[in-house]
Amino acid sequence: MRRASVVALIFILWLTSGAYSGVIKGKVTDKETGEPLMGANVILDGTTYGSSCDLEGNYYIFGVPAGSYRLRISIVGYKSEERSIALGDNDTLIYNFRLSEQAIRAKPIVVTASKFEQNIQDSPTTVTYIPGDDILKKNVTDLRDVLRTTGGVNITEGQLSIRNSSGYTRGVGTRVLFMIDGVPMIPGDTGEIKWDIIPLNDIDHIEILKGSSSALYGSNAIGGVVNIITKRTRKKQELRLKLSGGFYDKPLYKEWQWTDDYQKYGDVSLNYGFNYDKLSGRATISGLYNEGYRIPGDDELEKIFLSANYRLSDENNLDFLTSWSYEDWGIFTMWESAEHPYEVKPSEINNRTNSTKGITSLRLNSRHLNENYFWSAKLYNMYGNWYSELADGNMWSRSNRMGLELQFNYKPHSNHTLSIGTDNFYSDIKSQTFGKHFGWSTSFYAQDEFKLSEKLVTNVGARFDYFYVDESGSDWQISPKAGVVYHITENIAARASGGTGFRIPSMAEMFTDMYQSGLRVEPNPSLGPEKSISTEVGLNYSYGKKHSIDAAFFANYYKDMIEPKPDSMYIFRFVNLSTARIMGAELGVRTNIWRFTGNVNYVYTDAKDYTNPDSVVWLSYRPEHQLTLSLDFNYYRNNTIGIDYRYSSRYKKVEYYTEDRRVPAKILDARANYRFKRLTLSGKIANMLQYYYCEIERNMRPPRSFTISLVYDIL
Amino acid sequence: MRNLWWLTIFLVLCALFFVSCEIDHGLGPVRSVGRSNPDTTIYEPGDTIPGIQGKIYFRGEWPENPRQAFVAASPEYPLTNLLIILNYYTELDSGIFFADSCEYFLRLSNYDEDEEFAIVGFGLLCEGEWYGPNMVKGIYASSEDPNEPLPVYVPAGRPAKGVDIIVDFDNPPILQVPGLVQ
Repeated sequence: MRRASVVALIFILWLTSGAYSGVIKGKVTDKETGEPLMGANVILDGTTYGSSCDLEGNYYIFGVPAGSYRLRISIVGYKSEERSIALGDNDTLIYNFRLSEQAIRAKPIVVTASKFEQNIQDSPTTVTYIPGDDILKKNVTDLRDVLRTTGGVNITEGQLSIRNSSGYTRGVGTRVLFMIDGVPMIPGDTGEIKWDIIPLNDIDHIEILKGSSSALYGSNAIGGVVNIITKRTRKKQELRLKLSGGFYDKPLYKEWQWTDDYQKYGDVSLNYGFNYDKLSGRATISGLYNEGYRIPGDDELEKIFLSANYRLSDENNLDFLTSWSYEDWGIFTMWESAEHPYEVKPSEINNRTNSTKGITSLRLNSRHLNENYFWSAKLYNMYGNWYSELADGNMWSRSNRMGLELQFNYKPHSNHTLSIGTDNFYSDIKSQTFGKHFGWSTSFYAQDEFKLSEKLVTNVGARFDYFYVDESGSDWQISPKAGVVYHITENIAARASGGTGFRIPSMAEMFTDMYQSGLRVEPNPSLGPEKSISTEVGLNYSYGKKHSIDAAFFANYYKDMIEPKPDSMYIFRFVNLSTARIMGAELGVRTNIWRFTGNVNYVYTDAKDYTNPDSVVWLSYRPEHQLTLSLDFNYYRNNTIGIDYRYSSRYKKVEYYTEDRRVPAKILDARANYRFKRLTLSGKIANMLQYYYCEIERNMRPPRSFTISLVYDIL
Repeated sequence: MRNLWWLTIFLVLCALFFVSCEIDHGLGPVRSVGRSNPDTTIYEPGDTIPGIQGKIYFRGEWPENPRQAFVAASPEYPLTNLLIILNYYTELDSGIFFADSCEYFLRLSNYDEDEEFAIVGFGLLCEGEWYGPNMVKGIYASSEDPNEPLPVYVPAGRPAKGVDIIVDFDNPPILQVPGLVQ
C-alpha cells in the first residue's frame, strides 16, 4: 500500500511538472559563415534557466515554467542578442540565432576579477581587456611587446609591473601573477614570468587586473594579475600558417654599428584547430630565429602547444592544456661602453643560456545551471630547466611546481554569487645556484558578491594562506578585500575597492648563492613575505559599444619590500627593507568614430620609498608619467592601418649606474594589414623614429625594425 | 574612392603627428650629447675626451690568480656607497697581469661640466673574490701618506693627466669605509 502511494506520488509530480513547463530550443550560428557556435550561452534573464550550445550549435532548455521571458544569447567575440518570448504550458518554442562578429567590445565579459564570468563594469577593480584581434593586429612575436603598448603596464627588460608595483630585480620574483586560463605560470625557482610559453595565435584575449588581488589569488598577485585566456575552436576545422620575417635597421650613429649586415629575424607557426563530436582543441608548433640587434643577442625558440576540451556531458567538461618551449639565446648583461652600446665586453661575448620549460594542466568544470552552482578542479604542473654558460662560471637550475585548486560557486539567485575554494601548491628545486629545496602552500578563500539592487553590487572576500619552505620554516597570511560598484546610469558605473596583499619570496630570493661579475650574493633563509594595502576608486563610462572612458585613483602601501642590499662587507642578500607608497591616477579613453578607432591611456604615479622618513626618495625604475596611444583607420572591411605610440618618463632613480645619462621612452610604431580572402598580409615598422633608450642601465633597446607577416587560413 | 579619401586624411594626420613631435633620437654617442645632428666620427682618446689618464706602477708580488683588474674613481670619500664607483670604472686588459707598470685611461662621459673626484684607485679581483673595499690595491695618493687619497680635478671635455697610481701588493691602502668591518 505504502509502495503504491509513493509510485502514485511520483506519477502525480511527473504529471504536474509536465503540465506546467515547456521547452525552448534552437540553433546558434555565425551570421556570415553559417558555422555553428559551440559554447554560446543561452539564458533566460533573471532566472537560473539556461544552457549552452553543443557542437552543432543546438541548445535546449527544459522544464521552464510558463511565462514571459527575455532570452539572451552571448558568446565571446560576437554581438549578444536578446528576444522577448512568451512560453505557454507544455509549449516547445524554437528560436534560431545568427550572431554577428563583434568588432568592438566595450563591455566584455571577464573572469579574472572575481573568478567567475561577469560584466567588466561589475568589477570593483580596474580590468583591462585586450582582444586577441588587437594582438594579431600589432604584428608582434613577443607577448611583452603587446603589454608594452598597454596602458598602465610597464615592462622593464622582461619584468612586468602594473601601475609601477615593481621595479627591476634582475629576473627574480614578480609582483604580478601571470596565468594561462587561470593556471599560475610561476616557476618554482626564480619566480619570474616565462613569456615565451604560449603562442600568440592561441590567445583569445588578455585580462589585466590592476590592483592587489591576493584575496583571491594569494602570493604574487600583490601588484595585479595578467590572465591569458586561450582560444576555443568554433569551426569544425581550422588550419593556419603564419610566416613572418624582418630585419633591424642599422643604428643611426656609425660608431654604434657592430656589424655591416642587417640583422634578420623570422618565425613560422602552424596552427590547427578541430571540433570532433565531443572533442575540440588546438595544436600549434612554432619556431623563431633572431640574429639579434646586439651581440650577443641571438635567439632561437621552438614551441609546441596543445589544448583540448572534452564534453563529458551537457554539464561537465574537461580541459587539457600543455605547452612546451625550448630556447637558446645569447645573454647581453650590459654594454661594454657608451660608445659601443650594442656590444658587451669581449670576455662576456660567449655568455649563453638555454632553457626548457613546460606547463601541463587539467581542468574539470562542472556547471549545473538548474541547480545554481558550478564547480571546477584544476591540476597543473610547471617544469623549468635552464643552463647558463657564463664567463664567471656556469649556472643551472631545475624546478617543478605543481598545484591543485578546487573552486565551488553557488548562486542561490541571480543577484548573489558565493565562491569558496582551496588553492595548494608544492614546488621543489635543484640548482647549482639556489641549492636543493622544497616548499608548499595551502590556502582557503571565500568571496561573496551580492547585488543589493539593480544598481549596487558589493563584493567581499578573504583568503588564508599557510606556506612552508625548508630551512626558513612556515608563515601565514590573511588577505581580506571589499569592493562596491554602483551603476549610476546604464552607461556609468562608479567603483571602489580595498584589500591587502602579500608575496612569498621566491626560492631564488631566499637561497641564491653565487658569485657573478665580481658581485657576491649570499642566501637569506629568514627572508619574510612582503605585504601591501591596496585601495582604488574609479568611474567607468561606456556609451554603446563604441566609446568608453575609465578613470581611477589608486593608493598602495607596501612594507617589508624585498630588495637586494649589500652588507658592510659588500656581500649582497635579499632583505625585507623598504616601506613604500605608490599612488596615482589612470585615465583611459577608447573611441570609435566612423572608420577611426582610438585608444589613449595615461597613468600618473607617485612612487616613493619611505624607509627613511627623513630622506624620502623615488623608487627605482618607476616612471612618473606613462602614456600609450593607438589610432587605427579601417580603410576596407577589417583592413586597417594604424600607429602605436608610447611615452614613459625618465626614471627618477636607478640602482647602479646612477650617473649614466637617462632619457624617457618615446616609441612610435606604424602598422598596416590587408586581408584578401584567406590571406592576410601585415607590415610593421617598430621604433619608426629611431629612438634610443634603456629600460635598465646599459641595455639599449632595439633600433628601428621592419617586419612583414603573412597569415594563410588553409582551412 | 571614398576609402582613398579617408586613407589620405589618416596619413595626413599621422604626418602632422610626426611633425608635431620634435624628432628626438634619445640617447646618442657621448660626444654628440646636446647636438642636433648625429656625430659619425669615431673618437680617438686624446685631449678632446674627458677622463683620467696616468700610469700604474706595481710593487711587490702579484697574487697568483688575478682575474679582473680595473681603475675606478669616486666623487666622495670616505666611501659611504661603494656602488658609486660603478659609474666611474674601466676594466683593464688582462695583459697587464704580472707587469711592472701600465698606462690607463678612465673614460668619463661628462663633456659639459667640470668634475672632481675625491679618490682614484686601482682594484684587483682574484679568483673567488668579489667587489668590496679590500679589492682596492692602490690609490692616487701623496707620497707622504699612501692611505690619504689626493683629489683629481677633471676639466669639462678634457682629460686629467698624470694621475699615477702606485700599487704595493704587500701594503695595500687602508680605506675609510663607514660601517665596514675591517
